[in-house]
Amino acid sequence: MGRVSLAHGSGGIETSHLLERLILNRLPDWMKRLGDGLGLDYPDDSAAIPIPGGYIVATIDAYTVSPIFFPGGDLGKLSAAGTINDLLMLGGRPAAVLDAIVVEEGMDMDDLSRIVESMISILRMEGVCLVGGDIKVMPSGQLDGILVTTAGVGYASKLIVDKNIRPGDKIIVTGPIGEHGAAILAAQQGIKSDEFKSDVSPLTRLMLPLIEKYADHIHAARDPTRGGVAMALNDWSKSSDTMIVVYESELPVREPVVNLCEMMGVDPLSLASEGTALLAVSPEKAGEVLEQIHGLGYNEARIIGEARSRTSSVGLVVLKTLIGGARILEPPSGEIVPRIC
Amino acid sequence: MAQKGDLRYLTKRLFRDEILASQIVNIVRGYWELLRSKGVEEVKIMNFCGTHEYTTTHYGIRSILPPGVNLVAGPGCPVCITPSFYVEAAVKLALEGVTLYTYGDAYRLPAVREVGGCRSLSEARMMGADVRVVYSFLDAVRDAAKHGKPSVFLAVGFETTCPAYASAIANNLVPENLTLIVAGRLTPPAARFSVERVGTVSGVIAPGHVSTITGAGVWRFLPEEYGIPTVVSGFEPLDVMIAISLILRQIMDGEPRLQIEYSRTVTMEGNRRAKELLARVFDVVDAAWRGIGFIEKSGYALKESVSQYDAFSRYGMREPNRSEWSHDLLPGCICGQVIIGAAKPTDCRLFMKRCTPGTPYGPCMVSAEGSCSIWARMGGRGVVEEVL
Amino acid sequence: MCLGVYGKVLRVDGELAVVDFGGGLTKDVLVGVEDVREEDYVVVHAGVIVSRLSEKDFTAVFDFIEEAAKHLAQSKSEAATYLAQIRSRLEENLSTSK
Ligand code: SF4
Repeated sequence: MGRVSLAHGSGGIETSHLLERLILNRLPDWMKRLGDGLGLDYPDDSAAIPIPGGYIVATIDAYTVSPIFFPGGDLGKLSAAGTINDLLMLGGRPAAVLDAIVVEEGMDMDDLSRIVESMISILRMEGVCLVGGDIKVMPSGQLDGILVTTAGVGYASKLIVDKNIRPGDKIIVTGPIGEHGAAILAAQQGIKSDEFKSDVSPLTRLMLPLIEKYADHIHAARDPTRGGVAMALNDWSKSSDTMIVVYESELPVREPVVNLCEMMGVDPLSLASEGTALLAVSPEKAGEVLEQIHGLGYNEARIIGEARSRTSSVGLVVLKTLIGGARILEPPSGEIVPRIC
Repeated sequence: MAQKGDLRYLTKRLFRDEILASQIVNIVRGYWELLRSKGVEEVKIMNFCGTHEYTTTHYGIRSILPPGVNLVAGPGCPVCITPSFYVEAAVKLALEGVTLYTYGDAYRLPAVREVGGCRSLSEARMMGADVRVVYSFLDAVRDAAKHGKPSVFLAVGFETTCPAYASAIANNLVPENLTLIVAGRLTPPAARFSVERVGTVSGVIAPGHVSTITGAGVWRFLPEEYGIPTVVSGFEPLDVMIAISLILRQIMDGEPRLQIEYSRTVTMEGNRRAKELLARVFDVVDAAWRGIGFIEKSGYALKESVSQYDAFSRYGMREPNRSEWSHDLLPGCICGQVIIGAAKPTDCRLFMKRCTPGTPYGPCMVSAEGSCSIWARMGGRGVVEEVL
Repeated sequence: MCLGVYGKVLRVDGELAVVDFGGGLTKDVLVGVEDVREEDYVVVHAGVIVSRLSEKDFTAVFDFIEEAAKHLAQSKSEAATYLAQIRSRLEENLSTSK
């Protein structure tokens, strides 16, 4: 069967294949989902359990990052914001979080408390309770520093489910892409510059008003974390019977990020964002939604493409390039490492 | 941000301009029509540089060229052509506790044979080996000097990359604990090898950054001995498209010659200092290319005078010689043919069946710049064209 | 193969130089060419300056295109309009950089 590789956890194709083999194939259909909710039969940002008048939405994620403290945030902030965002992306209102912290023996106590403090301060700011948790210590050498797992719970009256994307829908991105991934890459490669700062932040102030007002017109929402925009759009195309067309000239990427990517030979479309959302919005309302997003302070939000009816048998994302050519935008695979060629 | 005369900014503005691009396409089409009216059915333009291939794919250049103008990739990916032996040696050392440095490209490169259950450095890292991916040799030099542990750099690359090793060695920057597995290769011998075997190359886009070091002059043999129009080109999309138009023009005029499109940084003579450094530190030897075999005078090896930097002698290993060396390809994989442009990926029975970008089998599928991986991603050409 | 990035030299110190790749992105690199000076524009590959960029030759390549358009104009009438468009586009781009 081979061995588990880092690529299996990178959020790209390898991760989906591993999940398929490891978990999905072992589950009978009834186990994958509760009632007419949402579960593993349709992997979205969160799961949904039907209750009278709506749904309970729930999500769980394990967070590691190297370095643990990075420009713009740290592991604690990442784990709180990430879980809140997953709930929001399904149309949920985040209510409570549970955490499990596994820490390596010998870790600096100050670092540990900084991480926990930063997790709690995000939850406090967003009015989300921390209702349970666990902490374990592993012998030194058996874990690289610290691992934080957070589970989140919330309510939704209507779900935003990715498979509802329809031909004609406009794809909106709410801010410059690849900011988190670029900050991590720069930190790992020893590049010191004030230009790189993770965008990690909860998207509550953006998403709650949108959900309230446009629940019927936002057909899909996703925070493009691991695997970046490229992964998210490929998932959308596959699950929705559409083909997605993206205009390279419309993509908001900050110049320092472009430069870093060119230097390191990586594609900004495959770098993670942790405080930016992708939305698929019905064409009639797209302009209005975009205006509202700008009004909420996300000034760089843009329409970057659209869904079209599919002519091929499989889901595809096609990128219209700067010079007027076109190429298929592949879901990223493998770890993100600098290359020389 | 924009500043008068800022060449970094100007490059992005000018050499990625959509309107200029469409006019260059018109010019390419114009020449192509003229050629067709003279009875030419196909032109096959070969590049010898993975970065040209990257530009071609990344900007979708194939999708806007006339159907008879075919761009094929030659052996221009240092990763695809690095013999399995070096990867195996690096994995072995890493598993024995040596700190191993390399670039991201070589980090993923699979060996043909497993060593200690690992096929690549990335797998060795999962098994707990200390493998560090760096952006440059200098970063490794500094890191190794800091920790002082036994360290090895897997030194792949062509003429552009190898001066980094030469310069650090010649200037005594390399700490005592760091040695190199030198797998550097020279491109002109491989280009000669490919055009001789393919036979039908109508034009060559020669590697721009290699030529900054070697000088464009090293490509003179292509027009002079083989009658192949040759253009040394830059790496922006418009550079590649202009190079294509220049090649078509040469074909039309029936006067194959060597032209430098990338004149903003390439000269006929090249980089004298880098060439001196290379000559001071390396001998040029017959060397193995994965899937291809030995090519005369196509590899770098450390000179006797700097042999203290050689990882093989430090760790009691040696390179296989010609008779011990095998072609390094897995059964069924025809990368050797694909690499020199003699076969198309679709000619391989494993293409998109056993061998896909997600589950690569042969080396050409591993690197993002391997031809098979590129073809796999360009597979939906029909779909792509609908969008244009 | 060889990814090369354009940068501007900020400082030279013997075998080492600090290069700015735009937007405050700087990195220490090895100097691989003769007489690199501050303010020079250079091509950096895998942490080494492999060559200098020539300001003078920067747009020389578009002469090829103008020439081609002229050449084609003799056999194809639209080519003359390409020529005009190419020229105006070039001028526009060069002036926006000022
Ligand atoms: S498709 Fe795979 S197996 Fe076939 S030649 Fe290409 S890399 Fe080798």
